[in-house]
Amino acid sequence: MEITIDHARKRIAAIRAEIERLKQSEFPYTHPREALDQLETMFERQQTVLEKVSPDAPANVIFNACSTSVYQLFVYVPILGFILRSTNVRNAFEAYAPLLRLTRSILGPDTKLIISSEWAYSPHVYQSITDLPGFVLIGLPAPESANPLLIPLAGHELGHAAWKSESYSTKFGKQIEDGILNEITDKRWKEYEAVFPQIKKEHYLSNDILARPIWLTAYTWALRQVEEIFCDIFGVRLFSEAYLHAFEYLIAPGFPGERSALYPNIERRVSYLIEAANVLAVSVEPGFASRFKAEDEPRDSTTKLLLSTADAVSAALVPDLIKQALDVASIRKIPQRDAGNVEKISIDFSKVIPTAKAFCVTDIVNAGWNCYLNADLWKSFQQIKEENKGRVLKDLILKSLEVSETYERLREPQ
Amino acid sequence: MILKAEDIYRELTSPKDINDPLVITPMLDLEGIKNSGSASVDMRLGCWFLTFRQSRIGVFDIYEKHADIPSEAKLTKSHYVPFGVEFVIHPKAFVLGVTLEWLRLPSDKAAYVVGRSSWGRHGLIIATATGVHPGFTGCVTLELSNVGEVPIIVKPGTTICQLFIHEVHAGDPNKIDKSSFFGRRKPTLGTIELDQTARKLSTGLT
Repeated sequence: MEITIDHARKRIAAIRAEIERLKQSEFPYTHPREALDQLETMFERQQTVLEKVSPDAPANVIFNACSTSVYQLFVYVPILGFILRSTNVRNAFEAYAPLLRLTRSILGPDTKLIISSEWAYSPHVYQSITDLPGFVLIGLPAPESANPLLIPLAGHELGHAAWKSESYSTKFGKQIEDGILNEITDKRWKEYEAVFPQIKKEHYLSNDILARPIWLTAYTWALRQVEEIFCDIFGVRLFSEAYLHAFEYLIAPGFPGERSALYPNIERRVSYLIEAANVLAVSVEPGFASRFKAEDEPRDSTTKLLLSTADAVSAALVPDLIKQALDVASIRKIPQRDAGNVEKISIDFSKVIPTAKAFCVTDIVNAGWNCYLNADLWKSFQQIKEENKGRVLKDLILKSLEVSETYERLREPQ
Repeated sequence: MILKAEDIYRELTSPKDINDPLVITPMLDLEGIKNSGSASVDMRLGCWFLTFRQSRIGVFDIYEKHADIPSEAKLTKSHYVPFGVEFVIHPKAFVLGVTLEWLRLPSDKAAYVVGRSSWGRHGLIIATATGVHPGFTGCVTLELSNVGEVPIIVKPGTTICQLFIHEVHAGDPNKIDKSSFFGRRKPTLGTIELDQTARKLSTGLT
């Protein structure tokens, strides 16, 4: 047992030394460093616990202490990597302050934000990190983390944080459960009877232990789908047309092969985006939906049945989800894209100049997308070679965010 | 003719050609320009810096084959220093900074960026009269060198240099600056291209 404790102590000592090294990094903002301080304190506590465990203690005491420390390493090493990558100059640092303002207006004034890059091709949000309360960590895929046109995807990730803070899983849980059971025992009973002949209607309705694993699978998928749909709608509410463009840029036409059960099929996901856009008077480009290809549905008949049940329930909740997303944004007084401002900024960009006054991040990235999609942009500028247009536009967007932030800071009291 | 500050104010607020304006953004003290009575506009330090990776290169030699000239990424390290954070320039250090302001010059104006003498007297030399050509748009790269004997702290947002703007007479308005510095928010090294003459003269007799 002595060697088990010794290994555990050395592992914690190693991670503490690593945190100490990470703290010497060039942090552009204070929140990543504050997160390191908090994690350092947590690992210090871990070490104190391990130091107190005697090699002669009962085996279960030793195992508990050591396995807790392994778990903490398992959870926090990837987060330390994320924090380290937040210092990399590939990130769009100028977007940090406007996104922090947006995050705080959604989640409260004390929220701390870390924006970083992920070595995974999917924007990601880390939430509810036990030892980092009040922190929101948003990562964009590393090759695109400097691309301000993809800032709207942070809207989806902020949606996850809003979903959590509003406890929507609990609020929608009952509706989803009722919906799933209704689908099974009423609308699709013949199909369920054929696939699970041993389970009777009353087993489902009485929450029988035999039926539970069946409907719970569909329930879990529906709940995850509903959260993802909400986050997409929230992204459209926060960033309007720019969200649709960024979404398309990142994943159109969709993944090859079988779909994930945790998201609606991309074809349906896009139709929900369009539904939300219509409610919000957000323009959808002609042909937008056609640029996505439906993913394959599962071939296995049981999975297919359960997933189609989850799909039906999540689809039925879309109007409610739109209402909730709009309500949250409106209660938090999140501004919507202002078409007049977008037009003004687009005109500046067309002259290769950033904004001359403060605009919100939504208006700036929408203007950026307007210009990106304008085939005639800068045709008369001999100085801008075709291959440099993307770089110049990104610089204009990021500089505009910085200009806006400069004015915002000067407005704040000293 | 060098523009007086009040002329610059007029160009900024009511440009002769709205499609070819003089732009300085962010413009944090427009009234200050109007009333300054000087012949220049102060420019502030921006948030991006480039330092040189001395240990990664033996020598910078533009006479090498083009493919062998190290890239900017290999030669330099980029730093982002947000508002409120210090950047220390040590004695003998040479770094590239950038103006906070994005400058756009109309086709009938050129400009010079000159360091502020108050910084110079403390050892911080800023550029050597960088010329900015008609039609330029972007943040201006600044060459910062501490020739003094004590480390100097700078912070983004500090006024660090001044911009003198000149009228440019005649010429085709379409023939304007085509430099690689166009439309950038970060400092950049740019490239040194050998022209035909220099290429021939740099080759020894055979």
